[in-house]
Amino acid sequence: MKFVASINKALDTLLEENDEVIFYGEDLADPYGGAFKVSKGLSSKYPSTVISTPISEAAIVGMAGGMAIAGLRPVVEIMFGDFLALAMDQLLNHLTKYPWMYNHRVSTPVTIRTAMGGRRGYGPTHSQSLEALLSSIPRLKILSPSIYHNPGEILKHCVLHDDVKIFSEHKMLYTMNLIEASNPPDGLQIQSNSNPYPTVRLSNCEFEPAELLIITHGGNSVLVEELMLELLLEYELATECILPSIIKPFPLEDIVRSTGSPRAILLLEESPTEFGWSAEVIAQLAEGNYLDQKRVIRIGARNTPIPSGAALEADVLPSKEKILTKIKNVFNL
Amino acid sequence: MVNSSQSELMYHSMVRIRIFEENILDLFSKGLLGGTTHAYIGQEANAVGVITALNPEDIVISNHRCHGHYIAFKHNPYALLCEMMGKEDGLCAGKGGSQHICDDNFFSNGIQGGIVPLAAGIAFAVKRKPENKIVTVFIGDGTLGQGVVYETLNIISKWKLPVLLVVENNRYAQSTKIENNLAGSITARFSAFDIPNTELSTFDCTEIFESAKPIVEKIRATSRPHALILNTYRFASHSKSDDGRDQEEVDIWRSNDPLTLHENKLSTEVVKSIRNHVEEEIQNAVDLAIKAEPAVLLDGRDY
Repeated sequence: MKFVASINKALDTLLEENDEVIFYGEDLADPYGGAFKVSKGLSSKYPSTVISTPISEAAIVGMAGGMAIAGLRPVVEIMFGDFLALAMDQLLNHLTKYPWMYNHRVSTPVTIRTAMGGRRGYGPTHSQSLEALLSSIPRLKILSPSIYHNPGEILKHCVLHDDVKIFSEHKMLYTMNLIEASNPPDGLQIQSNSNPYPTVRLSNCEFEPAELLIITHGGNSVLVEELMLELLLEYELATECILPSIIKPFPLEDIVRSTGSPRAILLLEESPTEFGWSAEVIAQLAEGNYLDQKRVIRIGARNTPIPSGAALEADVLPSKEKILTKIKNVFNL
Repeated sequence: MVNSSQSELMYHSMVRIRIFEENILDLFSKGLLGGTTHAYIGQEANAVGVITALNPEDIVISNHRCHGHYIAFKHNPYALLCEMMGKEDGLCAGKGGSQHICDDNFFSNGIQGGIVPLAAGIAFAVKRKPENKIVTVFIGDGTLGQGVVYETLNIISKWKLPVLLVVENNRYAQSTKIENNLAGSITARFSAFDIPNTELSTFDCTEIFESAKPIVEKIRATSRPHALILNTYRFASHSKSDDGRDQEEVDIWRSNDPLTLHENKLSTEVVKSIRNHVEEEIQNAVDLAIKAEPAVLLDGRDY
């Protein structure tokens, strides 16, 4: 099943089975069915609960807070993650604060789905990965499923549980096939834990401990597969990769047991590394005394806007080649 | 239309707001209150007139200057005072303070305009249920500078949501005069979104109630929004002590005191009895709140 179909199917089930689920956002009604076609067919099937809105991100995110306080479970689609900046006051000063500052007299089960990430040539305002900005908001949860997860099941759990969640969908993943643990690509093993927001572990080394541990999420799962096969075949470097589906709060316990043996930990993100998600993960590992003498490699986007031209964009975002160069340098390969 | 017991109740409610706010300013000056406050003194007729027209099951959403709306709707000065003093008995156990309170179907927040989408979202949800509730949201003239208000007016109108938008135009956005702050007309803003609107320039609580009542009934019956613009004036500072207005100007407006206006409709005995009763009530609330347990620890799960 494709990534986009998994999410579409989950929304269909949620709308079918739960009267309190409302799904709305810009341009998601048929026949258009949303900029990335996630909502295709749903407004025809559920005309009163799947609604196209005006271009008003602050209002539609803010309204979700009111709907949730009044007992609904809104799912808001924000067409491009970049547009969440327009709704930032509602996220920061309203939705995430209501339950806590009102001393839990209300709850705000709100799920905000959005398309993040670059590699499509959409340029500076339609390509960003904003997890660093968003993760600094207290009490906001952030999900970022990969092709090794079941994004639809994760979305269902989001919608049916409390708290405000950003459900980040990397736009390169929509058309890709999901990869199940029982059917891994040649040379890789896949394990997933049974948490509602599962963490996936990829390995290229069934019988020996990993020398390199990669921690990443979402769209970078695509880079990792090729990278790990090359590390095994060309350099015989045993490597594990951890892909949490919830990236904030960070599920530290899911990676701790991996950090015993590797010589280096590589953190890979598509947002800029400066004051970023990787920095937080590394700080948590260091505070937990899990780093010892391990080398730390951080790879993310350059600290610039994301350019539109293909060669320029490739230069700003992480690539397999850039990652390999850094790994070879650290391991003297 | 307003019988004598309703008239007495409205006066009672206005006096309760006035004396509460005077006590708050006094407690600040004595150092017994921290943080900040935004006194409602002078605008009491707005809260009481509008809220008297609502059902207790309706939803009321307010802003930084929320004490008057809260007391008119929920009649619980002790819980509000405890909230402002950071006490366990406060509406939100001291987490919200003066501007961020919640009491069942009453909500306030301290960001200008950000509560309007909250009102629209709740209105969307209540419209799907049979109880026929409506949502009232109070904003000010200063709030009309915020973009999210207009985004939401568009949706409220387009989606036909049962919202009463009350603009209390007290002529100042904090310290900036409306003449230096606001282009065009307030009513035209609502008309542009096809939201019917009514403008009143009065400090008479009865008049505000009598205008609000049919509007509220119409919103309930048709599930369509309406805006009520109340031209008013605050007699105290914006916050605690930041008043830069000409004293002469303030004095002229003060001659329109809504409490004095209403006292002309009641007997001297009734006025005296209500005032005595409220003074005692608020004094008790203050004494109890001072003695109440401070909220000091967040529970373990509530990081």
